[in-house]
Amino acid sequence: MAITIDESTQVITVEQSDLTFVTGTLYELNTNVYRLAVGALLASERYMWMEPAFNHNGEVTVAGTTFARIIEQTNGYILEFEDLTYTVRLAGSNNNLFDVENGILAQNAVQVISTNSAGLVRVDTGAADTTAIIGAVEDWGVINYSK
Amino acid sequence: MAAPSYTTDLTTMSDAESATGWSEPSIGSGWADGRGVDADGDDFIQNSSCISQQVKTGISGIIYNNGSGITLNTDDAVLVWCKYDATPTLLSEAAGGLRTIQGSSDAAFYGFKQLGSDSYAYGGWRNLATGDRADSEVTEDYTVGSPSTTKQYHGFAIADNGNVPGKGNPDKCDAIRYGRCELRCNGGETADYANAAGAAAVNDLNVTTFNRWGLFQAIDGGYLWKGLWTLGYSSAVDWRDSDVNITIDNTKHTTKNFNKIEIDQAGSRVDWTSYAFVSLGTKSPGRFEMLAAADVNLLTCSFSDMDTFIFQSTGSALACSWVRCNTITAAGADLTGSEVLLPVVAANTSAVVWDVATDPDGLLDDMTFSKGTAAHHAIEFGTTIPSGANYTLRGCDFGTGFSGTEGGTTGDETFHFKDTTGTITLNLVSCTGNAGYRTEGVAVTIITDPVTTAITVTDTASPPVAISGARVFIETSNGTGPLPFAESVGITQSGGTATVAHTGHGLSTDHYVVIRGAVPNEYNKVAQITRVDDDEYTYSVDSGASSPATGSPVSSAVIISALSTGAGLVSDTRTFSSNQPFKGWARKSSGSPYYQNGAITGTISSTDGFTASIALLSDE
Repeated sequence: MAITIDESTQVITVEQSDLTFVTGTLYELNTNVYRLAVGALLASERYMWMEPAFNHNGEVTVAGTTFARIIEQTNGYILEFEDLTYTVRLAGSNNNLFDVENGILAQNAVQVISTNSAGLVRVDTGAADTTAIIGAVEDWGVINYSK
Repeated sequence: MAAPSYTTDLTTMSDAESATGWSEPSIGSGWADGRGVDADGDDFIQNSSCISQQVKTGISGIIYNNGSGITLNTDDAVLVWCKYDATPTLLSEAAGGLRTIQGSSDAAFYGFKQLGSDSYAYGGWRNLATGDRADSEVTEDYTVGSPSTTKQYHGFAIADNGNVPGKGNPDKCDAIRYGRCELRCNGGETADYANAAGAAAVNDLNVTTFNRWGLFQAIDGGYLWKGLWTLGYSSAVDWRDSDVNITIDNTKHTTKNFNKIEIDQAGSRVDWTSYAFVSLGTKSPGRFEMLAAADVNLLTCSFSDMDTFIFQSTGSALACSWVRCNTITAAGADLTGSEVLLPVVAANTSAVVWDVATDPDGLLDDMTFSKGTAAHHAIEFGTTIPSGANYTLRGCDFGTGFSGTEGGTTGDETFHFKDTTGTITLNLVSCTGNAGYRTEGVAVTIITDPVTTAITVTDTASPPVAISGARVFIETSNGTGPLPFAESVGITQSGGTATVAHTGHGLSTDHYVVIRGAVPNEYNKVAQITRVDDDEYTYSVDSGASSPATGSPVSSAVIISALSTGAGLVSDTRTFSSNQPFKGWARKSSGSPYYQNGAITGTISSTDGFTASIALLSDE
């Protein structure tokens, strides 16, 4: 399975199998992995002509505390999860990926939980470190797409 | 490779070591003085004897009866060693002062004017070639009796002015041979390459082995050559040599193809540095042809008054000079820095023929052309060139002798495009002189002095480090430039080829466009196009895409769509008729290290191009 982008509608589709299972019907999306996967696609020959999809402010460490990254999906791109009945928790950043009102998230049967908070601190769980992120992006089948 | 070898195909009719078979022509022929001939061991050129005779007022001839007729194949000739010691008494060449003889009996033969008091003032041994009358290019000057086609009698005669010497035997003839007159060369190895001195030494050999072939003889300051010179006969040759002057003999009664250099065997290597060829005659001024894809390297050579040259792509002739020569068929060879001056090509033909599907960029750079007497072209682009070709000539000087009319028909335009259909773009970079063209139907676009758009992708370090493998995309940003921006198009698809109706697109084959807004998605992409005509082009799509495309497809020109080099560089070279606004970005996010999207906008100057760097922020 792999992430896909519809060139006409700019809908970015993420399948359930690409999410991290947490418990019951709860799944988690590492938003940084998602950002890198989409970025890899947009740097490929096929999608290079499309507008960039994110504004990204990386993690900042202040007085020993690492504050989480900020990911803003832009330029009309729409995130859509595979349309089944389950819940997705957005992890790893403050982001706007839950924003249905402005068309950032395509609403369907999937429930999305934002974990945004003021002063969100990075928590190294799952694919948080660089090596794990790269591995996760590769798992999404896009890391070599542009080669 | 083995030591160099030099051989010949010549068959010896007589080496004139005895008078057997030798005589005067028949008294009744008018070409004999009745004094007979002698074997002469005092003044010979080959082996140790020649045939000589006394002379008296009138015509005096020496002739050899071969016993049977010989066979001369196409381009063959008979070679006769001749000498006359009282040249002031000769008639002029035009009056038949010295003639060669070829016939079926001693009273039935043809005569061929060769030399005279004006062209043979200093005398000495001359090896004279006479071809076969059966070839339409060989014509006799005299007919004695009624000769048949049998070529059994061969020799020569002199006609004097009445002041002949009363003593001695001034009229001399030595070995008579015949064949293709081929000098066959092969072999050559490190420290013992084949070369001109080696060939001449064998040709001139007259000790123990008595050659004196008359094909490639040492003369003051160089060598005198005639016949077929095969470099790589039967097996490869390795010929490396420099600073050689070669005079091409004036063979007045042979075929046009008689004097010819042929380079054969793909394994051959021929390095000529500063070889200078001068042709003495016009009947067979000397041709050059690569028969095989050998490694041929000509450097600072000169060719004067020669005939045609045919190269292959493995040949090069750098900084060489052709003066008053015929057509050069380059066939992909590298002629960089060479000059082609005053060629003798026919009207509406070309000095250089380029008829390969190869961009001459880098192969015909910095050449100089001048027009000869006829109304001819400088360069012909032949029918092998595919439609849509985008070729470039750099640094060439075409002078002012050629017509600068585009689409002219006078035959003297600088370029001649022989294709009857399709399109071709010719970029002229830093070229000078007139640049008109004649076309047989292909649509020609001449683009003069294109400019370069160069973008370097780096990181933000100090000093910046080049980013290799970043993908750069640059497209038109509005409709004020000469290239299309978001212009509505119609698209159909058949067999995986999308055909785009795009009125006045102004693009050439291999240019890129980006298609947006089409349905289905397969049409939306950056595509390298093949130009069909001014209003249509094609590109590859998924053969399953429904046709025609719906939606609202628009097309914009893409100026760059490429990955950065190891130096972080991407570039494009083309001509813009006016300044071109653009937008785009560089991305490197397909693998670590990741960089943020770096945007760039600007305007490409139609005269200076555009150069900039994009510094990408880390995106880890």
